[in-house]
Order: sequence, then C-alpha cells, then structure tokens
Amino acid sequence: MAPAPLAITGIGLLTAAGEGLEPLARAIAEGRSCIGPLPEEVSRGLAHKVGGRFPVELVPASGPDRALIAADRAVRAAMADVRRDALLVSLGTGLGPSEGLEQEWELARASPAALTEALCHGLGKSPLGVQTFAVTCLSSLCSLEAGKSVGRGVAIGIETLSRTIQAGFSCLEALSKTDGREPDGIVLGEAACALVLEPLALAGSGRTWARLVAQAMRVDGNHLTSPDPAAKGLSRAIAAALHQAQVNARDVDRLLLTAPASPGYAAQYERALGELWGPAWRDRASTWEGVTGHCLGASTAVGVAWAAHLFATAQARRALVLSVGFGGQSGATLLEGP
Amino acid sequence: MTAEWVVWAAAREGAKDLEDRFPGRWNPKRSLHGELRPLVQAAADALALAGWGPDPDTAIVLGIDRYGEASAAAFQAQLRKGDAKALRPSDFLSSLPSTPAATLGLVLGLGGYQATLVGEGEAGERALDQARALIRSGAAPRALVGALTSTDGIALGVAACVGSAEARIGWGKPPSDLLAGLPSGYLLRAAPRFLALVGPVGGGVMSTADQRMQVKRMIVERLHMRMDPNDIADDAPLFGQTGLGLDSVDAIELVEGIKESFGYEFPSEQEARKVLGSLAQLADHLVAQGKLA
Repeated sequence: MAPAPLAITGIGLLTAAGEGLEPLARAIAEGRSCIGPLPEEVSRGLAHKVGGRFPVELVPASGPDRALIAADRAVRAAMADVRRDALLVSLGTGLGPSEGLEQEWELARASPAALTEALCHGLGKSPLGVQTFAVTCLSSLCSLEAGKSVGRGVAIGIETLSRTIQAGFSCLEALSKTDGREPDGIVLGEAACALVLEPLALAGSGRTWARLVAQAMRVDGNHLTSPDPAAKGLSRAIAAALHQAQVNARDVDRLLLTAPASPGYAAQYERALGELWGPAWRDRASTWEGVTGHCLGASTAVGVAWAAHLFATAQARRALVLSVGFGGQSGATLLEGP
Repeated sequence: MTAEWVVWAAAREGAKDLEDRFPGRWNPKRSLHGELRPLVQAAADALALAGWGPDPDTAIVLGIDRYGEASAAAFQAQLRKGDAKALRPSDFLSSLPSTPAATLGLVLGLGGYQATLVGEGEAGERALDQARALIRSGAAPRALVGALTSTDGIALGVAACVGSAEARIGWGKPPSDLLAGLPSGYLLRAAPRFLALVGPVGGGVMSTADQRMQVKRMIVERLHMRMDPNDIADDAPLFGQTGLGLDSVDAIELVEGIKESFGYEFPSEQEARKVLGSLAQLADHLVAQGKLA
C-alpha cells in the first residue's frame, strides 16, 4: 500500500528573484536571469565572480546573520496561514552560515545547528523536535524526509553564498567558466525555502499547495565528487519513489531538475531519464536555476515550492523533483497537485 | 516493523590495515582521512558483527558534533592569503559535514538514504531517532547509525546497526581505552552520548520501561502535548478527567498514531476502548500483538 501523502500547507520562499513564487515565475516567464556580480567580499581573488544573491531589500548584503535573517523570513511567510504549531523544525543546509568562518573564525556562530537554534529562538517556537541536516545539495531533501516521518513540521532549506562556498566549488572546478551562458558548470545561488507539512486530514479548510506523495534517496558509491556516468543511484532513487507511490513513470508530467548545468549531472539525467521516458524526456524537464543559480542545500525545497506553483497555475498535475549531490547522492521527490 | 538495535561498535583509531579491508571500493594506497578512521573502523566492526555486507538499500545516518575543524582552518588560511590557486579541494571536502557519511557509503558499499545530522552533543541521538523513523516508515529496511566527534587530533567513532527486531544478533564492546585519557572537560560529546545510549542496553530486548516510553513519546508527539513523556504515569487513565484527560478528537488522532507508528490497527471500536484504558494497557497490548518488541 502506498504511504499516505502529506499536505504542503505553507510555503515561504526567498531567492535571487525576490520573495515568494510570483517574482520567480515572472523572471522565468520573461527569460530574465537574476544572477549577477557577487560583492567583492565574496569573490575577492576568485576566478568565478557571479552568483544569485538575495535582493538587499530582503536580506542585508553582508554579515554573518544573513542565513538566519533569510530563514526567519521564509518560515514566517510559510507559517502565516497555518493554524497548528509545527511539531518538528528540520533545517537542511550544506554549510550553514559560513560567513562567520571568514569574519572571525567563530565556530559556534558558523555552525549549521546553531542556525536552527537561533531560528527557533527568534521565532519563539519550542517544537518537540529540532533537527539540522548538513548533506550538501540534498540537505533539504533530508529535512523534508524528517518532516515526513513526524507528519507535522516545517522543513527548511537554506543556503547563502559566502566566500568559503564560492572558493570551495571554484577549486573543485564545479563552477561555470562562462558565468552560466553555457552549461559548462553550475552558478551558485542563494535560497531560503520553508515548507509546512501536515497530514491531509488535518489540512482542513486552509490552503493545500501540493501533496508530498513519495520521496527516495539513493547513493551510487562511485566517487566522493564525480557522478556515476551510469546514473545507477539516480535511476534507483526515481524507481524507489515511483514504487512507493505506485505511480507509473508516464504519469509524471513534469521533471524538475537541479544542477543540470553541471556536465556530470547532465550526463546522469540524460542516461537515467532517457531510459525511463525515452528521448522526449526533455519535453517534461525544466529548471528554475537559470534564474536563481543552483541553490545547493536548499535545492530540493525550492523544487518542491516550484512544483506547487506549477500545480497552482495548472501547468502540471504530478511532478518529480530530482536532486543530485556530492558522494553520489541522488534524490527523487514526487508531488501531486492538491 | 519495529526498529531495534542489532549490534554496535566503537573505536578511537583505525587498524593499520583498515584500508586493505575494502578492496575495489577504497584504494588501499590512499589513506582514509585521519579523523574518519575511528568511525570507519567502528562501522566496519559493527557491520561484521551483524553479518551485513554491501547493500544498495541500507541507509547511513550519522550524527556529528565536531569534525573537519583543522581542514576548515587550513582552507580559511589559504583563502585569507588570497591565492586561489593554492586552495586545496581536499581541505574543502574534508571540512564538509557530509563527507564522513559519503566516505562510509563509498568504502562500505551502502547505497540507501544517507544523511548527516549536526549538533552539539545530541547529534548522535537525533541520528538514531531519524534512522528508527526511516525504518518505521519503510523508507529504509535497515540503517547503519553512527556518531563522530573529533577535535584537536582526538577522534571517537561509534556505529550501530539498526534493523528489524527479527534481525537481532549480538553486541560489541567498546575498547577499554575509548574514553580514557581525555583531558578534563573535553568537548567530545556526540560519540560518548551515543555510546551511552547503545551500550547499556543488554540482550537486545527492550525493557518494559523502554517499551512504555516509546508509546509515551508517540502520544506526546502525536497529540502535540506540551509535557515531558516521563511525566505520564504508566497506570494513569488516558481519557476522562483524571490522568491525561484526552477527549474523543484525541482518540481518533491516537488510533491513527498507533497505526502509523506501530503498524497496529484496532479490529473494532470495542477493542480500542478496552485497550486504551491506560498507557500500560496500550503498551502491553502492542507487545502482545508483536508490534512493540
């Protein structure tokens, strides 16, 4: 029997496009990228100097508390129309507020877990459970999975662009040499996304944005950073999610891709999606990353929010968010319209 | 399926031939990162005790409080010098909290759900909670759960295999010097706290108190009660004006919670009324039905 789906009853989103889904949708419709030059304090001495930063009217341009400010804003927006308190706050981030490392080597302040605690403190929330996941680009997939297992929680994905992150991905040669004009590597982007999860039965008369139907994560064990060309992990994650939901691949009408500008992950998508959907898989595939950049640990949560927008605007009925990350990790999150 | 301990092991360092144990998965000529050797050793020992091998569905859930500080510091030092070409990818990777779990996945050939929880001290316990939730929900059939804590050249690793109650096999023992000789007040907490959780449980069977606590936790979480599960008396009535004071709406939620958490569905309303008299009655009934081992 397929597990009971959960309702996503609240969404809070901040990206380089602005606050909420509308600015992101507008930018995508207009074919307008929100990626721009990074401030000198982030890009100093580095070859790669562009990224998708939060607009300064939403989040200050500098300071170690940028991640906290963005996450707080996203959670407040997500919880605005939700009547029940979350039992669990689960936050996923690749590196957390790493700006703190650069400014003063202040470990406690730079810790991802400290970010979650400060967030709950600032919100005045004392949920029964607080969890912090640091799983690089699948961090928010894990925060969603935790929320799923509790059944009533707020799952958060947050990533800000610090010099440490930009330098790390630069030295790994993962970044685009053409500033994103060609799919020769990723451009990084900031995002804060909060998703409120509730059992469908409790969602009541409030808004249900989407139903989280199934989620799976698999690891191919190929290499710490190089994706497996055979895409075994990705294929198995997709198969597991479809199996959990007892859904046939042909009934998924949108494939939402994270990090498709990375040549290694693009090859994985080509292989895994081509096998399941045939050469026309591209007709179902899209990404928002051309507007925002790749949002690292927040990617899955942003993908879920974007799927909710597609449902709300009748552009899709069922969507699969695909997540890829270091260590050969692959994730598949299946959503349906309300 | 009820999640249950299987075996566990702990280590403060890795054997000299540790890398040789994983031919084809880890190049023995390449050393495992020093801070990861105790964790890899503990995980390999726990898997060996459990008789588990490489498996595409086994999950890895780790709790980490201190790790990668020296690598992060080295990366920051190079970054401050402003010489981008001198930045070492290995320093960046070794400072990522997700690298220990990814390394375990690579060397041990475990390909299921993989996650790292971070936090001061309690990360190992949260990893354990997450692993049990994954097994209970069917998202993973079994999990390698671990805790790693490492700073100033001292690292501790603890690992436990967690699977279904039926898979219970045996127990490991910590090396006698695991915690010996640590400087007073040393900030190594996740692994020892995790060890304290997995170590004292003997024989592989949960005590009656543990069983009842599991039910108490479910009730508090499910009904969003702002109280400590420890404060629920075993024999206190669940419904009515005394005891917990639950009402009919809570009853519906509770029945649903029992179904989701323990996989038990009451055959009739009459049966539910009979069993939901007190916490102890409910826990004992779940044990009798084989839903709470």
